[in-house]
Amino acid sequence: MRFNLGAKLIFSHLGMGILPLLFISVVIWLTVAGSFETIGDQGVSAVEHAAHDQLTTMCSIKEKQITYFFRVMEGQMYMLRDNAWLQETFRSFDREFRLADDSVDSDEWNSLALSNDVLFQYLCVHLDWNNLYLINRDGKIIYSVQKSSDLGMSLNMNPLMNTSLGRAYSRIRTEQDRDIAFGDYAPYPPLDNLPSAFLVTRIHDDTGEMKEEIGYLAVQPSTEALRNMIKMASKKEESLEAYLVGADGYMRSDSVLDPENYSRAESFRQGNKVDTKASRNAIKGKKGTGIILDYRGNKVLSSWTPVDVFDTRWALICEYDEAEAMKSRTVVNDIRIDAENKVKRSVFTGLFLTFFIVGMIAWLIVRSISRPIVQAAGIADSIATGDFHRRLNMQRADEIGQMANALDRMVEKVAQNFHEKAVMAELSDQMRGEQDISPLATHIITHLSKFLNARMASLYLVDRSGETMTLTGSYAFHKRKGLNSRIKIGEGIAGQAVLEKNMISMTDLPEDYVRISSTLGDSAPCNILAVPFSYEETVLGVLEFASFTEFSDEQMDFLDNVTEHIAIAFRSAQNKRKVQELLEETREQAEELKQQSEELMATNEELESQATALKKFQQELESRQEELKETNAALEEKSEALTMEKKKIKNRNEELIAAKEKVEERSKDLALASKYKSEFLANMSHELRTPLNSLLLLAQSLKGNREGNLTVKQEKAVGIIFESGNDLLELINEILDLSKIEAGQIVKDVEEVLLIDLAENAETLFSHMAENKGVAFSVTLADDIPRSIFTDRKRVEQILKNFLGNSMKFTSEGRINLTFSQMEATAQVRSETLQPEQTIAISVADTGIGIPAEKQRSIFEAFQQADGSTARKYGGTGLGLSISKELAALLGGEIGLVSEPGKGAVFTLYLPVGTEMPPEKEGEQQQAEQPLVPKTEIPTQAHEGGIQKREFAVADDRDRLSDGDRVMLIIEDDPKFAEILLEQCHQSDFKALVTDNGEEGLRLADQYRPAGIILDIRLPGIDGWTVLSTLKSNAGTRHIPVHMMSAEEVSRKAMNQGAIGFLSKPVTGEQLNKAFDRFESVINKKIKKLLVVEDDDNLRGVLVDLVGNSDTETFEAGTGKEVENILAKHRFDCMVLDLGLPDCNGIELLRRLADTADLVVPPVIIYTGRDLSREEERELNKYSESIIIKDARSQERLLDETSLFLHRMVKSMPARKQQIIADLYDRDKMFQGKKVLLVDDDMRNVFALSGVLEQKGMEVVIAEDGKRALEMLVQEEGIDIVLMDIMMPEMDGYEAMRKIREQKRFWKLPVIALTAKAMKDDRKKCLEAGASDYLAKPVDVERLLSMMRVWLYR
Amino acid sequence: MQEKEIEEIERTLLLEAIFLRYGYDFRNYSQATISRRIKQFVAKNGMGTVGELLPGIIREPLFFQNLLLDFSITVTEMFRDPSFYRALREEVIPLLRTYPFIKVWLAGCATGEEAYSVAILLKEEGLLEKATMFATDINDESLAGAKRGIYPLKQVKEYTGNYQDTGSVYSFSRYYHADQNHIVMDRELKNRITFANHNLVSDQVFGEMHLILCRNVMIYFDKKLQERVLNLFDQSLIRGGFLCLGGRESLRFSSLSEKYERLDSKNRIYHKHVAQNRPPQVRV
Repeated sequence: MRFNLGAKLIFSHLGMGILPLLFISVVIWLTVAGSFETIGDQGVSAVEHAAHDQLTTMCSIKEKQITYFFRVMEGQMYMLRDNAWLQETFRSFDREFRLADDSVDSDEWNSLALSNDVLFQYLCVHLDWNNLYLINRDGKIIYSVQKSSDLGMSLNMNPLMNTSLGRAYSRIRTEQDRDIAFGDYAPYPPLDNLPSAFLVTRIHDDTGEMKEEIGYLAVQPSTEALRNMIKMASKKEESLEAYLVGADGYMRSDSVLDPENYSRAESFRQGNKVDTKASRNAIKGKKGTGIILDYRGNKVLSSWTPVDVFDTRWALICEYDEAEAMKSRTVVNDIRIDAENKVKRSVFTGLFLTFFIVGMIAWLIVRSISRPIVQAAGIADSIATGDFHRRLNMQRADEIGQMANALDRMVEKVAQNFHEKAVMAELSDQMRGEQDISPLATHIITHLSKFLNARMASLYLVDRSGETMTLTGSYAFHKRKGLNSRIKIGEGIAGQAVLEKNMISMTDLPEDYVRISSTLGDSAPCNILAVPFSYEETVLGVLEFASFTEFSDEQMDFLDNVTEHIAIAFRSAQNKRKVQELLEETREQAEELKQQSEELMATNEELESQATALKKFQQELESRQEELKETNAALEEKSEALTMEKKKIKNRNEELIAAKEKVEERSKDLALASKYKSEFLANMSHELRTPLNSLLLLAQSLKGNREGNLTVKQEKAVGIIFESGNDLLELINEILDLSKIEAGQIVKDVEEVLLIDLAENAETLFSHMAENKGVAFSVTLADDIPRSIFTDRKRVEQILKNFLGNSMKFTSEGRINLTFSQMEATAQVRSETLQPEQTIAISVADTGIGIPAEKQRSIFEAFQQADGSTARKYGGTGLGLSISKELAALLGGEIGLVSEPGKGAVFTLYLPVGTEMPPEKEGEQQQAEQPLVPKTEIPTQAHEGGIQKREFAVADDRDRLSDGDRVMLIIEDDPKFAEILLEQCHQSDFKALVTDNGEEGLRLADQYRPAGIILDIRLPGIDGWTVLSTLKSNAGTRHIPVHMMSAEEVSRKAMNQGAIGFLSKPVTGEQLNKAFDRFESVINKKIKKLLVVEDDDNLRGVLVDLVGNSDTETFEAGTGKEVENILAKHRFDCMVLDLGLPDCNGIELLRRLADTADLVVPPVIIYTGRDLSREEERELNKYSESIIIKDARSQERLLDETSLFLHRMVKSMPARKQQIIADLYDRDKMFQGKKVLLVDDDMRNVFALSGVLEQKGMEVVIAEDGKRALEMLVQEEGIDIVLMDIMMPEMDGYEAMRKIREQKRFWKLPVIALTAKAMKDDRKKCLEAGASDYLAKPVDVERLLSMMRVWLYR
Repeated sequence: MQEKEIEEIERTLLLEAIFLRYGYDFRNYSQATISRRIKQFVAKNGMGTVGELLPGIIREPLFFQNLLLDFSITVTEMFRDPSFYRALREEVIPLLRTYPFIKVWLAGCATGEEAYSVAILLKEEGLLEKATMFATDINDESLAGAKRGIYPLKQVKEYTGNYQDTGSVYSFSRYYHADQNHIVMDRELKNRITFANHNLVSDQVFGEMHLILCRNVMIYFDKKLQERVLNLFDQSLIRGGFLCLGGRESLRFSSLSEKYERLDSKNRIYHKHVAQNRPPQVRV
């Protein structure tokens, strides 16, 4: 390491100043340190002694405190036990304890405890006791303040026997002279196994003469008191602590340092024993101090002493860590070190100060010498980096000052030089690069002017001619008169300078030579300098400068140096411009050449393509010409043929038109004929059916051989007549159907038809038939079909019937399947309107004989069948399928058939799903259904047909009527049928009036008021409908039941207009019988009596109008009184009761009526506008059949309910059941007076059961749910048995039973669960919930009674 | 023996075992349905044959519960078939108004959607206060779900549409509270419904009903069982009570058809005649 000058100087100063001082300091230090050492050691041993003394003192104080603590407690206990109040209280507890069979459960004990608790608790708090026990002579705890689980237990037995309390007790019991016993700390189970100690003393009876021992007082000292007394902790000595250890090694107090393992509780719990030298010695009875290992294994300073509490010895140990004890020694040492440090510090301070002062002086001296040298070095550095501006400027007269001045001058010179070089470099910089001549000139002149401090300058270049010069650049120059921008060589100073090739300088110019001007003014220059510049001896131009100052030699030298560079620059610029001009020229020429060549090429190509096209065109032209020739020839031929054809067509057309006309005419005829035929057939229905009707009825009646006068043969013949007639009828029906369709007389009646309904109907109709035939029959509905379609239900059903009937007919074994599905996309249908997704396919598949392919078409044609033999074998008209086909077409659908002979057939009806039709059309349809032939024609036809005449052949009973006869009026224009009806009347015990026309019928009805009327529809004159409506609008005949019988189709219209029935001819004997039954039932209807109870007259009137009718006699009452009166006089079938009556409440009235023995109360219907509460409803349900709340639809219900009671067959209780009840009566005396709680929310069940139970003489209490049942159990005294329903709202049966069983007093109450549930687990569930037994619903009364007999048996 | 026959034997054994062990009687359920369900269950549990199910079904009630869940059909939605609810509102409710109190039984309530729908309807008609509703099912798990009344939010849009189609003038949202994913039905509705286990196949009448709804439950039963269930309903209904069946269920073939009148042409709502031998009403 090399030190600079300054550092060397400073070090030498310091060295000389400080070294002697250092030496003196060391000598002083060594002397002082030795004396401190001896003083320190004496202090340390004194401190250790003091620590031992402190622990010993602490130990003995604590020991005395503990002993004193227990002695005081002993005294307190003696005071308490000798207290008369305690003895008295003890006796009271002892008594109650004994009275309650050694138990503390009695109420008396509790109240005694309650009254004494406060005082005992007070004692405990003030005497620092945790608990206080009273123990009787048997060792049983009869009272404790804390009432822990040991209360009432014996100390002579486990688990208390081996506790500390138990041990203390046994000691005082066995050692008679002992007055107090101490149970050392040990875990005590009743107090969560917390270590507890007890003191037990005797209690004597002071009142008696003898001081008799009556029991024991035990006290548990507060654990806190002892703990607090021992607990010791010092802030100064952190590890200081005192603790008690028992002979067993367990802690009797809590360790401060390790409470988690060595608190009293934890040491017992975890089994952590203290076994140190201190504890062992103390338990042996020795006191002492010493440094030992404590229970934690730490080295401690310890003092120990034994503590004797009653008979128990504990070790009291006070100690703290040795490390902490040794801390005192350190204190003394600290004082010594402190003193040493002070000496050290003063020596060092002296040294430092001296060092500092000497250093400062040295530094100042060094500074004055070294600073100028450093500055000079800095300037030299600046020059090196190109900065010439800094100077030393040192004003010192010494050697250093001289050196500085020389240095400054040197810098000046170097700077000048450097500046010129820089300008030159800058200039050449300006001239570099590819520049044009003019800007180059400007750059040069500007730059040089600035450098030369010229105020004006110009630059002239020698022209190519070499004789003139042109002004090319200037600086602050302006033209003057006589001066040109172009001058000749040799002209003026500049010209002269060029000529001479030498610099010309002029000074002291005249005033008007030239002026240097600025915007502010002008002045004449003093000096002019013209500098020519040349390249390789050729002058290229001249520079001229004007200045106020004289140009210096340096400037002129500089210019001399520069001119060569300038000349080179101009020459190269001139050359460059020349080259550029040449280049430009060449480029333009090349461009032009290129363009010309391209044009040439394009022209060439065009020419070429034109030539090719021309060639092609020529060829085409040639071939076209050829074709044209051929076509021409062909055309000529064709045109000839065409003319011929045209002629032919014309002829044919004419023929066709003629034919068409003929066909049209024919088809018109045909249609007309067909229509006539169909109309005729349709209209014939009546005429055909009428005679057939009689034929069939008579045949059937004959077949019965009621009079027994027919031979077997005859009977058989009649049977054949009947069957043939039936066949004929069927045939006629089908023909009529077909012709009706063909005649367009059938209009479809579109409605929404549920497919499932169709399926169900078909199944109902045919499953039975299939069963009879032994053929399996199934109906399948595909999942993806719509629910319903819009079509004519009747027609669809007709088609299905045909299909199914057919299948049934031709299938003798196997199966028939009716399937509803979506039409398959692959299905072949003729009509294009049937879209698969909008079409339903209903197919009937069978396994019958099948149909050969060639016949499959014809079977749909009318009057054709697969073959004649088939018809003979299977019968039938074969019209069914034709009708079906027509019907399908009518419905917009069609029929498909797939079949193979022997393998069965599948008939499929495809039906469009359709849409709902506007309802107003229906009216029109019904209109259309009227026969085509006007009504008025009928009588005429009848006349012409000669079927009947005015004089009517049937002889009726007109003249043989007597009072009481039941009379039937028959209005029927077919005399044969009328005769049959007459006969039927007689058989049914009616007299009959017969007429063939409506007019007379009405007259007879009015005159004779018959019991019933049989009415035909087609009558001469007014028709049956008119008769019916006239009858119904006449008050006198309105009630007469009318039954319609007609050849027309069944019509709902009849029922709507009030007829009791409608039979469509031909009728069968059976149907006729039924019709007469109907008459009987209507006619025989008894007049019923109805009582309407309502206080408002108007309302009552409305009710009577509403409910009453022809067969009801209605009575009215407005008050309760009236009701009672009326009921006493009449027997009613039904009573309608409004609850609000002026003289009594409806419920009261009902209750009163029920209690009145000799009144027969009819079924009651409550009709009220009031909202009822559940209780009211229940009450009313007891007395009434139904309750109707007035509302929008209540009249409807009222009508229903009243008609129920007015018309129902009175059924008494089945005799068997009555008998059973009667039989049981005697056996069931045990039921007498028993009280049953019936819990059920099903009121029918409640009434049925309570009825039976009450009949047995039981009292029945009802609750509708579990909650209510629990209330009732409390409310009603002495319930003997509970019948419990399970499923109820609010609280179900399970819960109710559990709640019942929770109460001790209901443990033995029989509860029978009634449940609708039949699962295996339910029985178990019921029994688990507390049911005594279990009975499934519906309740079998006999089983219930026998079960109750078991449970009620005592 | 063919595979099909063996399977039939296995199925019969299984159903018999279920009946003996748990008391659930599926022996009269529509065999096609049961067969399909069992097959699905077998496949789902990775077994080969129906017979393999037997030990598990007999020994492990939990396993059986799974099967039971698969057996009972829980496809249901709120206000399913709005026209039905409309009919209920227009045709049935006015008559129910004339009773002081009414009881309604929803048999086969599954997860309760229908029960809540009916409760909502009754509430809107002011009848809920007067009504006691029972909703029963054989499946305890479904019942627990029904009791909770919590349904996924994503279905609510559909329910709301249905609800509006029933002709209601209110907003469906009055009856539930929604969180991010679910709705929970209004407590008032819940409290009005007693949910209970009841087995239509084996259990009996438990109350007198004014209205019974059992829609699309019986389609899984065979004829015999259908007859039993319908009789159970008949015994439960008061005279003049209403029975609502599903679209493909009918009273038509049952012995009860005489006692009931079809109230509504589109929906299967039947009205029990008040008078069984009702005479023709002569009204002038």
